[in-house]
Amino acid sequence: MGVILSVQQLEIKPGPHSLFRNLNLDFLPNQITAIVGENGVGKSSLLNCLSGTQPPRHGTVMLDGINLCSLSNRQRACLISSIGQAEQTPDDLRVEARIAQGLAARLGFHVLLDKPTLVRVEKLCEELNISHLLGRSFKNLSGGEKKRVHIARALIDEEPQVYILDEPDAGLDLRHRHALNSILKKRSLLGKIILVTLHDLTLSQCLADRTIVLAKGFIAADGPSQTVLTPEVMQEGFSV
Amino acid sequence: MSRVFLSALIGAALASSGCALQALLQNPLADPYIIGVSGGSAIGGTLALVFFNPSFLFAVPLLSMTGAFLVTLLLGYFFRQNEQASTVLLAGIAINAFAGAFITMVKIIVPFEKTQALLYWLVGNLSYVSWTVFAVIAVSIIAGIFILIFNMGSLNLLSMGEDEAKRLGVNTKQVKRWTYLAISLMVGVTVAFCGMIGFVGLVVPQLLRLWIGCELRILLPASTLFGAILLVVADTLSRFSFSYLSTEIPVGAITALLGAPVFAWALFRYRTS
Repeated sequence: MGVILSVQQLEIKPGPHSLFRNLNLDFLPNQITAIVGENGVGKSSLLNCLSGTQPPRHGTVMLDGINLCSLSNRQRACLISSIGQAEQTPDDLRVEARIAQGLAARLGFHVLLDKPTLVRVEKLCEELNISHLLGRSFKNLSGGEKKRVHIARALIDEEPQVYILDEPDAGLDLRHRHALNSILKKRSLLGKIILVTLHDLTLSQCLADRTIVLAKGFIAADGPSQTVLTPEVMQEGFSV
Repeated sequence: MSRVFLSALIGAALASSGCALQALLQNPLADPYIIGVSGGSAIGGTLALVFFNPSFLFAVPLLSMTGAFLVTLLLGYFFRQNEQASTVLLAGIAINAFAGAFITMVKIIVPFEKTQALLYWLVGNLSYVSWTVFAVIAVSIIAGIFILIFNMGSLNLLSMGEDEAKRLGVNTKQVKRWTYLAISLMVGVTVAFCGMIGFVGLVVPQLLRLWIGCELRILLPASTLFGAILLVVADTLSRFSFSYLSTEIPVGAITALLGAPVFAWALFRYRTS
């Protein structure tokens, strides 16, 4: 068994009418976990706690026995690579510079884009079918293209033990969802813990090994993606 | 010769402060003058001139720095409440209006000799600086630039937004604290000794962005250098353009003549993109 990301007695308050108490979850290596649920139910709040951008109201998030709150942002960034739901980027920034920012915690904040980094960026862009975006600045990209560049920023560093992606499928067409699917599965096979929030339940079934359905204030279901979405769970989690 | 060095230092301070403010507030239109940092500093300096004995040389710079620091903190607070780019600009308009009204009121109620000292100081100029004052300005500005250069890698990531900077490993609290301090130090000293010189912090980074992009690790040192060059040129123009009338115009007038159209252009550019 490799490194485990573990949530103990977690309390989060995603909104004024929603509160999660005593949340206990373990995330395992070689496993892709999809977190699904209605809008505003607390998916992003949970991921923000797990990635360390938002401290929990109560409880702990442990990675390999280390409390994430005890780490500096830089130490945490070397262990967990994550992207938020909507990232803002200056219009003039070039795609390759944005992607290389994913290596900043490991290489140093002052290090400029050098040849070896550029080679790594180009290789990843090929895998994600975004090589044609290299050299362009952000102002010339569509919403879906920006999303793909942000995903590349999260995946450029191969060292982290955990990848957390908030709605990586938003704005992606079928071909690029397939490319994302393929690269996340490859990373998972390398022993990484992968967490994603998704709205597309079909994608969660074909991408994730495990699906957690969040409802207002409780976990409606947690199990293998292929079998977890029963009519009862859909009623409880999505009111459909 | 000291005037050339002084212009270069002030230009470098204003341009690097503007560049750092733009990253800190994630707003490419931020400039210490436009968003009210210089105005806050002027309020501090005005209070020092009115309430302290002129023999206390450091009253004006200390209160100017405090004014700049408080306004920078206030802007940071406004920005956290509402992350729209226009928030900071509107807050800046309000702060500048308040500073203008406050200083006008003070000019009216203080004795005549204090009003004269205040007017002379507010117009701002780069001449008649003693070597002691020059040394204070140089040390403060070099320290401020050093702090910004030391933090520019983190500031570069902070320009992506606070949450994203945290995800990328930046200690955002620490970087913001040092940047607030450096900007306040440099703007405070600049306003205290040379008055309100506007738009340098906007014009230089804006024009350089077109040439070298928005990578702060290149943009900040370049802005520092070109800010120095711009103000030396502007000061030379201010000294010699009206020399046939045996007068010189304030350097702030030259930078405003150049800066206001660039601000309008930049506003248009970011509104349409």
